[in-house]
Amino acid sequence: MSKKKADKPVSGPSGNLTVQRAQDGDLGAFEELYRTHMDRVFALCLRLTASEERAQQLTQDTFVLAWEKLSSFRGEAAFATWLHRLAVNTVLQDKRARRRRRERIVSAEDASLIVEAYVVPTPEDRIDLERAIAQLPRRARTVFVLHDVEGYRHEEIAEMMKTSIGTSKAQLHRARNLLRKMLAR
Amino acid sequence: MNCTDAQNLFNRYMDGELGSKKSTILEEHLEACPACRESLGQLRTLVEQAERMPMMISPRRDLWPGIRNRIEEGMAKSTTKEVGIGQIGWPVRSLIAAAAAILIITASVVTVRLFSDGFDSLERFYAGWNQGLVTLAAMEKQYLGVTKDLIYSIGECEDNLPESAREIIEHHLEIIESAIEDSRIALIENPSDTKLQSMLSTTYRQKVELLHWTAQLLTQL
Ligand SMILES: [Zn+2]
Repeated sequence: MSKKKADKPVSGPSGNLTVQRAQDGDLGAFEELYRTHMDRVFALCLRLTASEERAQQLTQDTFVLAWEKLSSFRGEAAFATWLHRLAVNTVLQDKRARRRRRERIVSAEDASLIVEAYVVPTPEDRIDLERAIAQLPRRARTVFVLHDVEGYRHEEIAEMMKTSIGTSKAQLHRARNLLRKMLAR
Repeated sequence: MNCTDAQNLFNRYMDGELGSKKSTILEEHLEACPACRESLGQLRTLVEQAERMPMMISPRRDLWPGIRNRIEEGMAKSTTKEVGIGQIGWPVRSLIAAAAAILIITASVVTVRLFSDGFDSLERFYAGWNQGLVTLAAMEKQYLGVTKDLIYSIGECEDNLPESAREIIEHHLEIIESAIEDSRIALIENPSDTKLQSMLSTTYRQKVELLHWTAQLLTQL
């Protein structure tokens, strides 16, 4: 599979010029970048964490980090791709998450909160899928979101999660099989 | 090829990772088996639905003010560089390594009690374990209670631990949690497998011990 949605640039007023201005320290330009890209980053964080509150925090973390690291963005990759990757790493390395994770087994109730995080009305079958994804075990969920929703390749996922390609594939297969069973009920 | 064999190949078949020989055998089975055709259809629908999920969701509150504040604070602070906590000394480091080793060694030997004082829930957890008559469900309930208590007591104090100590603890927790996740997934598929059940409860115990130990380490700082 090579849909590579992850690399798809977001259209909008986020041209190189805005990035350059932000790199020169223009916070207004950076806000423009935020406005253009936040929905994309938030969706990713929401699905990876299965928690609206944490998704909000991590979206903020991502943009603060992006500001700090902006000088290292060279422009070979699209800004959206660079930012997206930064968001994934922020979620995967989140230290606050670890403490909470220990006590947390996502319940169906948590999962419906995630669905509520949608502002727009959402078709029923997609709500079911979002809810089911939220209930997956964390690593299976991570791989499923990155591969089947976001379009990353196993090689990339293995690198980001510091695991092997085989493990990434195994987690994906587990996630899909579990989701199929949950949705077939 | 039976249905289980067939189903084990579905994912690789969909992703085009199955050789042509195996694909042909699978297709022959699918031809003859409506149940497997249905399962594969469901998997396909799932993957298509996932691809079509919206890539953008708006946060319900404006996150920009928080971001701007942090950026501005950061810019104000950047002139006075922060001094980090010094390197952790070797005794603490080796203590932690040793405790981690103890954890692994004592995974099946349940007599070791690193520390005596604790919570009621902790007492009950160890007692139940030592009697060896807990069902997995009862164990799980106690486990959730005791981890909640321990996490509460560790709470924010965890930040007092040196970074390297936290990293070692987190590293071991990662391993333990991965094992818990794997066992839970395996149990969904084989709920009555007693080996899996005891593996899972052993892993629960490891996690309780590690958290217990962390809590104790914090009181000694
Ligand atoms: Zn069959």
